[in-house]
Amino acid sequence: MDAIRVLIADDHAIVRMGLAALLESDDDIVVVGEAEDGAAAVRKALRLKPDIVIMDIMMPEMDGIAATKAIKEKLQGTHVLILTTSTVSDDLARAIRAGADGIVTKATANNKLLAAIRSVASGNRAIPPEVTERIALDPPVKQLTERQLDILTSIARGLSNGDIAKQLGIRTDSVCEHLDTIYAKLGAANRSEAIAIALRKHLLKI
Amino acid sequence: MKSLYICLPAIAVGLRLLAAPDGAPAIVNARELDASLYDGRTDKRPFAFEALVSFPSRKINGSFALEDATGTTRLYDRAFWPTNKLLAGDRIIVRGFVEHASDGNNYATATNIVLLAHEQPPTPTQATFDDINAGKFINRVISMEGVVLDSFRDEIDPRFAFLVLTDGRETVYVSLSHSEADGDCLAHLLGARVRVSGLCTDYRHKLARQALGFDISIDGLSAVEIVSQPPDDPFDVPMLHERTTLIHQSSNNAYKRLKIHGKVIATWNRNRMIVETSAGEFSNVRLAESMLPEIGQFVEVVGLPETDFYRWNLARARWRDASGISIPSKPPLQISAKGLLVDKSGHPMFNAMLHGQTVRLRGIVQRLPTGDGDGRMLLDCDGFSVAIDAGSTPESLRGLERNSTIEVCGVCVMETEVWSVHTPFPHIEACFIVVCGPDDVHVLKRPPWWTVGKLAGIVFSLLSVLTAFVVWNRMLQRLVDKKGRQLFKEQIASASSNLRFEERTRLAVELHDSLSQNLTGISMQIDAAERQLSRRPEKTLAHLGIASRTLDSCREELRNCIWDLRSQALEEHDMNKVIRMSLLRQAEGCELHVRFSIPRRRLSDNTVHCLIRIIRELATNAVRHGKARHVRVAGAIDSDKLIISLSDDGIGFDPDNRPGPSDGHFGLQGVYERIRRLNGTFSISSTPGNGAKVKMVIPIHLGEVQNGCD
Repeated sequence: MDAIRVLIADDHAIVRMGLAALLESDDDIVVVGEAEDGAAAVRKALRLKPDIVIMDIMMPEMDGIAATKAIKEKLQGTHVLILTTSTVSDDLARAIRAGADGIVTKATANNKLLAAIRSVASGNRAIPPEVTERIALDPPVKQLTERQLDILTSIARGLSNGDIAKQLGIRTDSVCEHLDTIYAKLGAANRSEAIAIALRKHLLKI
Repeated sequence: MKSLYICLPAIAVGLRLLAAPDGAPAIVNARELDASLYDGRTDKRPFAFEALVSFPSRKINGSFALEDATGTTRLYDRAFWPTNKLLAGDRIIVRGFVEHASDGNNYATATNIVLLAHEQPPTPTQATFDDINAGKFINRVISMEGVVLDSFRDEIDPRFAFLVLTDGRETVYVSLSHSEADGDCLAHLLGARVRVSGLCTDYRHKLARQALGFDISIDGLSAVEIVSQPPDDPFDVPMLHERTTLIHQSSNNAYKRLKIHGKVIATWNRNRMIVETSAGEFSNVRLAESMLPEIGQFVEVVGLPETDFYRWNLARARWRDASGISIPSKPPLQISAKGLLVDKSGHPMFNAMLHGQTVRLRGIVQRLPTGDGDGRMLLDCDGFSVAIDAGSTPESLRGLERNSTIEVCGVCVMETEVWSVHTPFPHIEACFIVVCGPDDVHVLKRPPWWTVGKLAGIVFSLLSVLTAFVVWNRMLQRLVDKKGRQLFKEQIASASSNLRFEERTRLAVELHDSLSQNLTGISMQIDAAERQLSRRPEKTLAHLGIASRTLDSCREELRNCIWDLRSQALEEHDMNKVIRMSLLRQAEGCELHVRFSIPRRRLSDNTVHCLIRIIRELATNAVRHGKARHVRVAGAIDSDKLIISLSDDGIGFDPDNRPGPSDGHFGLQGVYERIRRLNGTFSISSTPGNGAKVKMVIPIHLGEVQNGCD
C-alpha cells in the first residue's frame, strides 16, 4: 500500500512543523508539501496532487474554506481534512458546504487525527459527532450580502449612520433599513449585539 | 277633694325632690337664686323651692318671674314645662339648677315644675320713673303712667316692639310682644298718656354683671291702658326755634316732640336729610322710617330734638308735605378741600360753617362707590380725600371712571356726635358732599389711558408671560438635559460594553494566534517524539528540543501578554510613550530612540497591539542576539500606509542564513506571520558587523481614522 501523500496548509509555522513531525512519525504518511496560506495551498495542491490536504480555516490571502472549495472543484482525487481551532458553527458549516471531507479540531488527540487522515484517505467522511452537534445547536445565521457586511464592518469601527451613508454614498434612511435587515438576520436587538454576534460568528474580523 | 287633688302632686314632687340625685339643693329660696345669678360662680348648683309665679313669659323657652317671702327672681325654663301655660298667680314647686353659660352669665334653668294651686296674682306696685330708673323694683310687677314719646321695633328680635314712655324728665322703655303690635300700629299711641303694668327687668353687662338699664316687660298691647287720647293732629306740636333751650338746662323740653318747617335740600342714607328752615338753619333730620321726601319739597317735620352744639336737629322724626314760600337759592360756593378740612393754621378741622351750603369742588376720582350706591366715592383734591355721597340718586355717580377729573356740586354735610352733658363739645364724625342728581357731576377730564393700574397690569402680564416663558424654557431644558444624560449614559454603557467586548475579542484572537497554535505545535512535537522513540530514537531529541524552545517562546509570549494587560502603556495617547513604556523590559541595557509621528487615535487597538508585539520581538532580537547598544524606532503615515522602521547598531547577521523555526527560532517567524495577518510587507537588511534594519509597510483602514475619534 502506498503511503498517504499529505499537503499541510497552515499559516502557523510551529503548527506546520509539529504536524509534519507527527505525520512523519507514521510510516504510512508522507508530507509532500507545506503551504502558509490558502492561495499557496491551492497552488501546491494543483502541482503536487496530494491524497489529502490538511487545511486550517483562518489563513491570510485566501482562507481555508475558499481554498477547500477551489481544490475540491479542481481535484477529484484530493480529499480535504479541515484542522482548525475554530468551534464556530458557521465556520464548520461553511467548511462542510465547501466540500471538506473531514473536520478535526486542534484540541483532538493526535492519534485521532491520524485515524481521521486514514479514514478520509480511504474515501470516508470524517466529521465527528461533536461538530454536527455544534452546528445543530447553534444554527448558522443567514448569509449577509456584501453591502450588509460593509455596513456591519463600518458600525463595528464606530461610524455613525450618517458617516456610513456618506462613505457608501447612500441615504441615511437606507442605512437604517439595512441595519434593520442585519439585526433581523443576526437576531440582534441593537448595534452592540449585532457586532458581538457578527464577531462571534466570524462574519467580522477585528 | 280639691285640696287632696292639689296636695297629692305636691307630696309627689316633694318626695322626688328629696330623692334628687343631685343631693340636697344648695339654693332654697328666690333671693338666694337671684343672688346666685350674679355671684360669678361657675359650678353647677341645684335649686328647689316653692314660689308664686308673678309674671309668666309668653316666649317659648322664655323666662318667667317668681316671688316668695324672701324676694323675687327670674329663671328660664328649657322645655320641661309648657311655660306659656303658667299663669300669673300659679303657686308652684320648682326645681332646677344654676349653670354658668359660655356667654359668661349664670342662668337658672327649671327642670321640674309642679303646679300646686292657683291664687290671686300679686297686685302691681305703683312705680314712678325715678323708682324704675333707680332699679327699685327689679323682677317685680309694677304699674306706671307716662306719655308715649316714641315707638319702634326691636332691631335684634323683630318679634318685639318698644314704647318709650316719658314723664317729661325721664324715659322708660316698655317692651311688648310684636304679634300684637304689627307694623307701625303703635304709632297711634304717640303723644297719648298710658298706664302699663308689667315686670320690671334689668339689663346687665355680661362680664361686669352691672346693671346697665331697666325696662318694663308687658304682656302685650292689652296691658296698655290709655289714660288720655293723643292729640288729633300729631303735627300739632310746638315749633323748634333758635331760642329752644338746651336739654340739660331745663329738662322740660327734653322729651317733647317739636316741629320744624322748611325746604329739603339734601337726602341720603335712606332716612337722613337736611332741611333748610324758614329761619335759615340747616337742620339734620333722622327719620323714623325710610321714606324720604323729594329734594326741594317743603315739609313739616316732627321729631325729638337733639343738638350737636351747632344747631338743633331732629331724631326719630316723621314728616308731611307742607306749603312754603320759595327761598331763593344761593349760588354754589366754589371751595377747595383745604378750605373744607383744614383751619387757617393748617390743623385738620372741619369747617362747620359750610354745613348745609351748596358747594362746588374739583378733584380726581380716587375710589368709586361700591355696591348699589351705598358706598361713598372718594375724591382726591390736592392730596385731601373728600367723600361724595350719591344721596338718593345713586345714578349720579354711575359710569364714572377712576382717575378722571370731575367737578361736583352738592350740599356739604357734617355729621356730629349727639350733644350731651358728657360731650360738651361734640366731635364732627363725618363730612361729605351730597349730590342731588347726575347734573351735579361733570367729568372734566377722562382718565389717561396709562393709569398706574393699567401700567401695572401691562407690566404684570408681561412679567407673567416672561415667567411662563422662562419656566417653560427651564422645563424644556431640564427635559432635554435629562434625555441627554440618559442618552449619554446609554452611549457610555454601550461604548464600555463595546470596549470590553473588543478587548475580549482581541485577547481571544491573540491567544488563538499565538499560544493556542504554539501549544498545538508542542503537543504534536511531543507526540511525534514519543512515536519515534521506538523507531528512530535519534529524531526524538530533535522533536523534544523544538517542543522545549516553543515552550520558551510561549512563556515569553504569555509574560508579555500579562505585562500588557497590567500596564497602562497601551492606554497612552502618545505613540512614542506607548512604545517606550512597552519596551521597558526588552530594551534594558541599551538606548532606545523612538520617533513616531503617528497619532494614537488613527490606529485601532488591534493594530497597536500587533505593532507593539512586532517591535518588541525585533527589539528583543537586536538586544539579545545583535548585542545592540542603540535601537531606533521610527513610524510615519504615508497616505493609507504605516511605514515603520527599526534599526540597531548590533553585530548584524546574514539575512539569507538567519536562524529559522527549524533551528528553534520562532521570533522572526512570529513577526512575519503577524505582518501577513495585517496584510503588510516586511523586509530585513543586514550585513554582519553593521547592525540590522527592518522596514515594515502596513496598510491601515479608512475606518481606523475615525476609530477612536468618537
